[in-house]
Amino acid sequence: MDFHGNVLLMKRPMKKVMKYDPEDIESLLMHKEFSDLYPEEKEFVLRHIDSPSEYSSLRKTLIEVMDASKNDPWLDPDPEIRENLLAQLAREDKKGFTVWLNSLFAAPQLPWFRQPAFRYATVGLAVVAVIATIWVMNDKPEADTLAQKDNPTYKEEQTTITPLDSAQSEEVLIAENVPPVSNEKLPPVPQIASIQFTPIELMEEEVADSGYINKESNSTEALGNTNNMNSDEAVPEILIEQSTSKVATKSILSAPEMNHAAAPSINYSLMETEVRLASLPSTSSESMEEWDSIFNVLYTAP
Amino acid sequence: MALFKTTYTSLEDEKLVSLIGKKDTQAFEVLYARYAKLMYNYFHRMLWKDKEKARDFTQDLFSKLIQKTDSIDESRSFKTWFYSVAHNMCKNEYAKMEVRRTAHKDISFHSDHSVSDNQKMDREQFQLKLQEALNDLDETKRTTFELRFRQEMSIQEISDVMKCSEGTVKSRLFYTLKQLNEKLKVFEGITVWIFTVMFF
Repeated sequence: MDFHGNVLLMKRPMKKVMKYDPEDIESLLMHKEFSDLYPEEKEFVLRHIDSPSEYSSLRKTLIEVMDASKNDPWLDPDPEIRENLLAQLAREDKKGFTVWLNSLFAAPQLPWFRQPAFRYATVGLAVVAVIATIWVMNDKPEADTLAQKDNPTYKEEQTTITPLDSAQSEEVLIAENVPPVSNEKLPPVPQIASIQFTPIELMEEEVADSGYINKESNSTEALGNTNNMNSDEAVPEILIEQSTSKVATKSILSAPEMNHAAAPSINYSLMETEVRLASLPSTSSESMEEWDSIFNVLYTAP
Repeated sequence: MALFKTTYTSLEDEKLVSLIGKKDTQAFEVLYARYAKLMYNYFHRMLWKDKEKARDFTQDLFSKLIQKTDSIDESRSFKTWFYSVAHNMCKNEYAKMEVRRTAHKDISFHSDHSVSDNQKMDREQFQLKLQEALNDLDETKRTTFELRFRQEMSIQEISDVMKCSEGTVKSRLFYTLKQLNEKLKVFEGITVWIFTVMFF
């Protein structure tokens, strides 16, 4: 800057900057004859091409090549290609939809996220199902045991019932196993001094699902003595359940209102297939027959 | 819900691709109409003018499009993506065909015969000679040339397809042109000689 404030431009050698990249010859060849090039363009061209004649030759070749490419006939693709592809598209459409993880969650740029969600979900479900199955199978014996314990049939099969000697045990059994017996449906209780019950042969081959089975006694066996029992009192009941055609000896129980002192004492052994009734209140043979029809004992030899 | 019917022909390639992803047949048909001929001819030229191969490759290419619409990078131009897939398919084919050079020679042999038989010197012969010269080029230069002069792609598009810089594309084109010039110069000499023999 001089003292007047004018900027003095220092004279220095300037680097010549080429306007063209070396690769831009194509456009020059295409659009200009060598003679039409600017001096700067000529200088640039002659850096890559030996002579003006070579430039002309290259230019001619380029134009010929471009013309030849344009004039080269275009072939039409086989229409079968289109049909095949449309069929493929229809098949893909029938495959149903695919839910991609990247469409479910907000991380679409992660490559591993570009996986089909349903594939992973299916694998996950399969694993869970297998684990659950194994767990249930391992847990089943215990569950079965508990269930059987809750089941009165199981209880009775597993237990030898001893004569009821306490009201409490009777009540428990009644509460758990036996529906309350209605006195109205039962005949008056006969007063008998003793009653004899015998092992009973099952007269009917096929047994109903549950209920009482009439029987005929073949041989008698003293089962016990009777005590007095009021007609108003509930009657001991033999609950019979059966499984198939043969054996179904179950429990012999008494009603809750029963005089326990007069209740039949029951010896019951499934294993020995023996049923004993004792202390049945009866006084006459007629009553005994009635009782016989009421207290049906299903008994079958093992 | 759309109130107006979609005019598929006015849609861009990328939009059509997204519709194809939803198995839209019409979108596919429009895109197919745009590219089928281009790709078929590209394969035809790049695979030694083998029509069967060109047919199979075109079908495979569109088949990939149907299957992989979800994996197409939407930020990229569909055209360059499509051509790069086609380019890679050709490269794989070249790798498989170790006898490619032999096959080229067979083609050029037939070409020479047709030239001599028909005695058509001008454009047809030039076409054949050009094809022969192109066949002698290496794959990269031939692809570059094909994309530039036949498929009329821009330098930028070619660089996207071939995954190289624009400068490299320009440079390849220039040296391809020089190489072709050398080969076609010889051809010009021969034609001059044939003409001379024929007329005198």
